[in-house]
Amino acid sequence: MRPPMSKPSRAPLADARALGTPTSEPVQSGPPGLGRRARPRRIIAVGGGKGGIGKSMVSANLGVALAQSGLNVLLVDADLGGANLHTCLGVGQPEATLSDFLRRNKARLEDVIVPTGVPRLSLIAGAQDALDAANLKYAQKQKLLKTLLGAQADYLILDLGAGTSFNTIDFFIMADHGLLVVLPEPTSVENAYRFAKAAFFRRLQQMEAEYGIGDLVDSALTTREGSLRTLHDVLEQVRRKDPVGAERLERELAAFRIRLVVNQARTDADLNVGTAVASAWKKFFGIDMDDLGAIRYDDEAWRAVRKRRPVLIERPDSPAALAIQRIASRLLAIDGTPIPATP
Amino acid sequence: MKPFAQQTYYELLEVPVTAQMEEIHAAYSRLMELYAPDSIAVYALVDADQVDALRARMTEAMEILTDADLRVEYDKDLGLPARKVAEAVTAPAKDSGPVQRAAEALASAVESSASSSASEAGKGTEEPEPELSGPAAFRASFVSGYSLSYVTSSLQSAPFGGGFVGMPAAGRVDVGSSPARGESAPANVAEARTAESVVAQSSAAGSASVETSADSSSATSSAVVPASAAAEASNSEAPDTASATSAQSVPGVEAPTSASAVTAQAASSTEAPDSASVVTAQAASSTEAPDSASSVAAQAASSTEAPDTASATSAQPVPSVEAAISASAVAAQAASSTEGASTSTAESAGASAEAQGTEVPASPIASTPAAAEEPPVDEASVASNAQDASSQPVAPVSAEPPAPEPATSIVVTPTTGRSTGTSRSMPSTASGTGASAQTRGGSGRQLGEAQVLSQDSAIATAEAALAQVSARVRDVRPRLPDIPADAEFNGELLRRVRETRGFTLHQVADRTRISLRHLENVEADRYTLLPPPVYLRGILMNLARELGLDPLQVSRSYLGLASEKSGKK
Repeated sequence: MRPPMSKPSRAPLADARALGTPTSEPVQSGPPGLGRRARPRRIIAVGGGKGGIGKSMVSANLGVALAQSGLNVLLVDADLGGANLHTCLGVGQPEATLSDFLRRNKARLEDVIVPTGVPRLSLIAGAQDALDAANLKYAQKQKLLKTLLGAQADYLILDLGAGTSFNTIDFFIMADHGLLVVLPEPTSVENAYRFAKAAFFRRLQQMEAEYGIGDLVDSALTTREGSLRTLHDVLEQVRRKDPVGAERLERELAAFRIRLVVNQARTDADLNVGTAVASAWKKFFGIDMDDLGAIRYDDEAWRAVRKRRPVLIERPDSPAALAIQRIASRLLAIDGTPIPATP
Repeated sequence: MKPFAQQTYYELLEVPVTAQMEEIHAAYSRLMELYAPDSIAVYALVDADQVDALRARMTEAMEILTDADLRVEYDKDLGLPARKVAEAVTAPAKDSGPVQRAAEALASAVESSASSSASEAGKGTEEPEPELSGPAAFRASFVSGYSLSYVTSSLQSAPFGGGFVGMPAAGRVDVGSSPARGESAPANVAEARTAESVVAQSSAAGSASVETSADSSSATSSAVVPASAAAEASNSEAPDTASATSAQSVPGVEAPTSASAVTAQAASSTEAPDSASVVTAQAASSTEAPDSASSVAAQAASSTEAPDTASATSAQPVPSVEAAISASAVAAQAASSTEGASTSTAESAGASAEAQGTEVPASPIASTPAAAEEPPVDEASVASNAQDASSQPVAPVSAEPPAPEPATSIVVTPTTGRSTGTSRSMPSTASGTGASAQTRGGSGRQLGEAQVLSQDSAIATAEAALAQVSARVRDVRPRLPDIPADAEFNGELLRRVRETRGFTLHQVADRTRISLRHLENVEADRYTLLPPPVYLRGILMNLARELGLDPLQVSRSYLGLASEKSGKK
């Protein structure tokens, strides 16, 4: 199943990689034995800036949905300081975690992968006890990023933590799909915008060497939030210096697409918040955001968490579960992957 | 990927260019909801004033696109195939572009060659896209309705906005003389290209106008010249027409660059003589004021206005100034409106002293599309500057530039004291009449509001100012005892002054934060008990300030005494 399918879908991914973010570079020229096929076909990062908005719930259930549609899915709990994805999946305290991999050099990534009980869905649990688990060092982060890019799966889902630390953002922007979870409330929207801005500027920063726009990006980043220079401004300045470079830069920025998931929508109006946010974002920053759809507020989801089971398995017919399935199939549609009939 | 300030109206409203009226309205209301200040989608996304700017621009877009005439014009500007949208638009004259009004005035005055000029006008309007015959014909057929004219400002702004900015300039006016007015307005613009129309205008306006136009044209060097020239021409015209027809004169001054600002000034000065009313002097004087380049433009504008107001009886002056490049231009506009306002207010206020500062309902709209990004504050400040300057000649005292408030637009309170309001820079502010002059770029000034302006108003202004000044003078704090210039400020004298003021030592101590003990010692000339000179000097300065004396003189004198005495000892 894999080879034929991965052929056609290869192209866009290659494009994305070719964007030349430093993080992806090393992998491209990675170990000789590691062919392209060894890499996950798609990386989905689930972030959102604010805590408690359902990132882990979305990640877990999305993983289940994708696994149920016949794909091999690897969930990674990249919420370094507050790992709990395993609980969402009912895995219990995992024996091996990410910190085993990061800290003890003995471990290969494969060694810390634990099964979840859902076919084709496996998990790398987050670091548990280490006091400084959240403070990933740069070298560790690079190692992790590289290794994750080399992981074998159809889909790699990264469950990110709250906040906009580089440790979070860097995982977010290396993904093919940056899922931005947002609740229809000001606090969450505010953080989501900040997260998205941070992601774009971080990406700019990573590209700055290439375009000689380092100082521009720096000044943009150090500006106060209120007067945060927009990407328009940055692009404009780059264009003045280097029209061709600006052209490419613009393309590359546009290629990085944030996809919105509105969680816990309680009213019909809430269902449209995603569209509104995407359109406001585009209006002011000129960058497209996709609205993947909303997940209704659902007591079933809450009950499922209490039971430590993904709602998709616990109550597959609940509104929340259906919404997640819709989101999963939209992602698959975007990737142009026909849902396999059989695993 | 372009900022909304550069988007076309269609892009702004997210509708196809073929959208029907209902679609546009629907889109507009949807977007207004989406970008409402309390909308969650824009929360913390950008600055509030950016959202306001977007909303203003959307409103502008909606107004243009839902007006058949304006939309046709706009489409032509965009290079879209001209198409007739539903014709009769009953939209009331909302934002009347300055040029247009001037044009109107002109038209009424001239009354000549309506049809021929009309055709020309049509052409002229379309400068960017030479789609001549189409528009002309259309317009001709359309005579009965409202005339829309692209104000010169639009032309100017077009280059910046990417060519589609047309809106700002566009305004429509409902004029009594329907046939003539529409045409004339465009004619102005057209004149840039076709010299003939210019001639016609100028001749109509009279010699004065000719002067002005010449002036302006010579001054402005840029490609915009035609436009600005037109604007100026209209300017000059305004007074004449106004007086004749009691029409509304709206001079638009365009200052493409700083150089242009100067031009504007020149123009205004030129103008002043024409409108030989009482106010002229005032206008002229105000012209003098400008120091900085930006403020110059603004002031020029304001001064320009003054004459108009004065001369035009019952005419409402609404000058719009466009500075293509600098935001200051915008400010200028604001300023001018401010000034008009002040005049009118003054009238209503009668002799009441404070009237001066008040703002007129006319909303200044300022930012050109290009300048849209410019912070309103900027404008506001400039505006206030201008105001300041303009008011100075009349009553220096009263002129006080109000702190710029971002959103407020114009509040007119005839009787209120000093105007807090400063012209609001926000493009979206509705003008007094309720017609929203959303246009940024330039335009739209509301005509109909201050019906009452008359020559009297100028006098009233002057009177008010005088009254204010005299009030101030009368009101001065209790007269001082006669203090000779070379008086020695010893403790005794200081005490006398204090007592004359009616202050107790305690009051002074409270207000100056100087300890009672020190004050007593100072007044008693107990030099040895006083703190060292460094501190004493501060005490004396404070005290002198409180008593209304010259701090330097007092401290020097007293310290001299102190060192003398203690030295002797």
